[in-house]
Amino acid sequence: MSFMDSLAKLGQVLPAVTKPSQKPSLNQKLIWSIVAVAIYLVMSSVPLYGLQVSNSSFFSNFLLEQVIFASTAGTLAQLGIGPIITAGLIMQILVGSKLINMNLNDEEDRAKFTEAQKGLAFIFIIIEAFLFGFALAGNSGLSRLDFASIIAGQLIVATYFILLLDEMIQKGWGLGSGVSLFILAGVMKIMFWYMFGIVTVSSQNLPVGFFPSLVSTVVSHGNILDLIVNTTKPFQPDLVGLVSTIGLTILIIYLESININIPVTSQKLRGIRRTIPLNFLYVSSIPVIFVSVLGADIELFSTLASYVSPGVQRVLNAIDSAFVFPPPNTTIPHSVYALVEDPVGAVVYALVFLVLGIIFGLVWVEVAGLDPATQARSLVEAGIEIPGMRSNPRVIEGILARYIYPLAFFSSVIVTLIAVVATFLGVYGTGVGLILAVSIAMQYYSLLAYERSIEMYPLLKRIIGE
Amino acid sequence: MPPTKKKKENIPLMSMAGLVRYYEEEHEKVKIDPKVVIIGSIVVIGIVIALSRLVPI
Repeated sequence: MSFMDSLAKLGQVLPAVTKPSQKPSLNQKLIWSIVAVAIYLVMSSVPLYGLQVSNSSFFSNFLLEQVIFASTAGTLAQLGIGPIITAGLIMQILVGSKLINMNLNDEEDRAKFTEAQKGLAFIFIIIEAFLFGFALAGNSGLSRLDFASIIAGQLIVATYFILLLDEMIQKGWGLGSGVSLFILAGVMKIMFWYMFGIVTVSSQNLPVGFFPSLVSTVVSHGNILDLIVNTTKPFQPDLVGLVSTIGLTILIIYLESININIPVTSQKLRGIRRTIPLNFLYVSSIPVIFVSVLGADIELFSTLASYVSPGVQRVLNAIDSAFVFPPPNTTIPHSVYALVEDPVGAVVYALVFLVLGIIFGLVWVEVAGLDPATQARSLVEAGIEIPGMRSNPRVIEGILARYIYPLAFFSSVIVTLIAVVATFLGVYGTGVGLILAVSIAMQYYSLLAYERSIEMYPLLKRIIGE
Repeated sequence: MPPTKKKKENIPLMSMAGLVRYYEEEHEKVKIDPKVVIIGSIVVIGIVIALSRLVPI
């Protein structure tokens, strides 16, 4: 039995959520989704049983995980969606790079792919839960194994329920994907706190918000310049960050709405000419997600390795510092002033994000079936032709390739640059968080519009074959 | 008799947040109703809060 088969077998024996026997209405989907997010947010605020407050300094380094894995330090959502995302991306890269030979056009292989993803996610849950347990055991009165088991037990159960909540939404009970909703909720929480937070929560890198700081500075006749550009404290929001957050949000919405239109005709619609829109941001926020997941995993295992092997920890720490700007454990402020204090770190950070972002963006096109060959096949199967061209997948593939590969390359560059520039300007919720939040919110906007049209015009269901 | 192939269209491909998943196949052996997931999560939260209050380590 191959490794993939073993993972798939594990995925099959794990409890799974049933599919709805008939499609829930939009209102029912909204209720299931809201309940799932509410439970997730409550889990994010319930501290792990047995955890000491003195451990809070241990958690302050998990900045990337906080955003990309929607994790909240020291709570039941400590692992967040990290194991799900990490397992998913590893599987996608293995299959996309043909290291594992799977044909995702085949039903059996598709089933095995999803089951193996779940099996691998479960293995990651167990490994990370025990690593956390052992890493935190130093300060407790219990034996190391007892304490690790108590923490790991809670994390395994809670994270498995998070996996089931995501599965519930994805299988059609809710809207879209739980993973996306949890990331969006996490980033929005950080942004809200950066604006209106009235106390500092150091274990979660949450400062006093901009507006309460403004009021307190004005009342106490303090230094207002430091609120325009923060030059002193890490994680202190400033005005440049606020304006950049608003400006870049508008820019991302604008870029997400640009389409490149390819003229086509349809045999089904008696040769009527129309266009197929390709998103200008063809790979959306994927390059930023992939780079951040890689960085977050290095960050996570570097912190955990400090309790196993200091040598390994030093190496991972050095690599990790290239994925986070300003580097962790420094007093450099998270604002545009960081460029003055650490210009070399800024260049390294930008290069790492840019190079890896382009590579991951191009890999994603192949993995997700966005490549010209797959798209051309889908068009021909749907009876769509390009005017003046033979209805041959090879010919159409050649034409699509002229658009798709440049779009994939430039959209990877643009998305990665926005994330980097946003981080340099000190946007609220980090550059990666902003890109993710805006792109997820826009996906949900389209999804809601689609679901509403399907409910209002049932004939559409038959036309699109639902 | 060889298994009949289903039609290839309407493959539910989920790719939000960078994850590709397919859910048209169901091989899992243990199925749970979504209400059980919701109630189970709430019970876990309740137990952890109760333990922290009643049996602090």
